[in-house]
Amino acid sequence: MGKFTRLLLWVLILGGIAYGGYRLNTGGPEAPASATIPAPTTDEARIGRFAASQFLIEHDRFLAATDPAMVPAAEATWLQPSDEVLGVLVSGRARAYPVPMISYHHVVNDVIEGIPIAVTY
Amino acid sequence: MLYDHQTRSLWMHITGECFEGELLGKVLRRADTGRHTTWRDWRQLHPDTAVMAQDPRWLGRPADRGYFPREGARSGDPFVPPQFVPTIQTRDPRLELHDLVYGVRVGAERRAYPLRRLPRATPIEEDVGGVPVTIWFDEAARSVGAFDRRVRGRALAFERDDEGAIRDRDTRSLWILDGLCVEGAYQGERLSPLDGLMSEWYGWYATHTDTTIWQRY
Repeated sequence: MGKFTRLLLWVLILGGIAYGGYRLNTGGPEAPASATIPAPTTDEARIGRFAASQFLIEHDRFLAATDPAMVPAAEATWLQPSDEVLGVLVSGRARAYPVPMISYHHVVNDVIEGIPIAVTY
Repeated sequence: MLYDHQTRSLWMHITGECFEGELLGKVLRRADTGRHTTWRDWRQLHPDTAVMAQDPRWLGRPADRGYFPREGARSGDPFVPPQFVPTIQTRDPRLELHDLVYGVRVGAERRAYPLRRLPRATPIEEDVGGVPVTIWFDEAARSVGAFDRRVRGRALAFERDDEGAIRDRDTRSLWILDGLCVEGAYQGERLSPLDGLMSEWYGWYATHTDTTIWQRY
């Protein structure tokens, strides 16, 4: 892994944690009543973080899975009983997303019975 | 955090809220039902389930530790590498950083149910945010179901029978962890899932600093 790639990774991960701890802006008509994450300390900090995020998006190396192929349970022979899954039920249809596969892609974009969902962890 | 390809707005993965960008303030609706569990449990309850298929394009890429490492948030080790722990700024000592909790948001109330304190035998029944809720825990699968327990206008009470199956006390109908009644007078009924998810404590707390924590009475 090149030095630059490694640096980018670190920035991305640390940036993610920083974002996880701060909700940069609250409010908006659809925001929940109790928005509890501290607001950014300064506008400069907020603008800086957002700019950094756009740079990172430009160089995103994670590979989200979109509309993944599905197989029946009987064909999922690579899964072990104790493997973790995120199970989703939509309109009576069950789908399982193995956690190790999600952890590789970070996000799975799928459509079940016409309803678009994003699976993440 | 997540971003969307269309507007590059930034989203919190725990809450589904857009916190920066063009879609600021928008909130994704949580899918009913999403449940974190084991393959054994899911397949047993839903034999007809489909499974996300392995994609040969991503199999065995050495730079990515292989496509399918058997790890997850519940492997027993903290999921965050130790060097990141000091960067967690929003902390609360009531629980350990990496304790697993099931967090729910009902009305204005946020409440965390620590997995290691949850009773194995009995569903928890209480009011949260003005709503009668029931919290079910399957210890073997380390999986939680959390629901509004009102059906047909009345709040049901649940218990485990001798075999560990979930039944309502009223009609002895049989329910599964996804909130579906599969046998008995309520067959076909489905409890409304709460807006909730499994999380390590630090993540739940950072996004819900006003959370309460369930304790055995």
